[in-house]
Amino acid sequence: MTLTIRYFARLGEEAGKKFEILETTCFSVRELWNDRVHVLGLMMDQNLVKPACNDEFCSWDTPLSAGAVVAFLPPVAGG
Amino acid sequence: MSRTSFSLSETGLEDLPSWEVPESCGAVVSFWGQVRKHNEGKKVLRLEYSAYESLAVKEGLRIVTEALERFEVEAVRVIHRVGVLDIGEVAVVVEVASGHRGEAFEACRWVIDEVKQRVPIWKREFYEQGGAEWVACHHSPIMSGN
Repeated sequence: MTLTIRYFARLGEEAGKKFEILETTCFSVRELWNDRVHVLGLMMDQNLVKPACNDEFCSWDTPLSAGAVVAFLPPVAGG
Repeated sequence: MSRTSFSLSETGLEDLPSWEVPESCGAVVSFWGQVRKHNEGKKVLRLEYSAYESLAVKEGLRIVTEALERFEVEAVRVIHRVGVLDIGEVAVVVEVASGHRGEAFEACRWVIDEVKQRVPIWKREFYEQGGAEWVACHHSPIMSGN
């Protein structure tokens, strides 16, 4: 299936891109993160990252579906 | 007119659009956050806010709605800047209206704390000595979707 992945702030720098469109067989958001850590060399501790799917926060166990937009969010710092 | 709003702005907040406060309110508390010229011993030249805009607005609206449920307040408005800001520019405005001042102060403090911890907005500081860093929110809990 094809997914869009978005990387924000420091994760965008680590990934070297703000988004990518990817063909993947990963089943869950967690599996996708582990895959991207391996492929892109992301350094951030997973415990600091919050995932989102289709513009909503989600759990690491969320299953992926075709056309989903997955986002990986580093610790926020607004205000 | 909605009693709650959360929005992101690419333009300065020094001249805010007018806000209609319910006539039943006797108190309006405003918090303005502005860009400081130093942070942790480094001189800051400017900073840049970026956001996951659609989710930031969703989460921001959840916060202002929760504020109405948790406190005896009648209206809450939050506007957060995105883009490049110079020293002294207003970064965020929180306004709370209520019948009496006590609840308005309390709710205003709660709202800005929640915004800083929950809304997907990031800050990058550019330093006089050169270089730039993404700022980590020290109050941010270890976040995990588990």
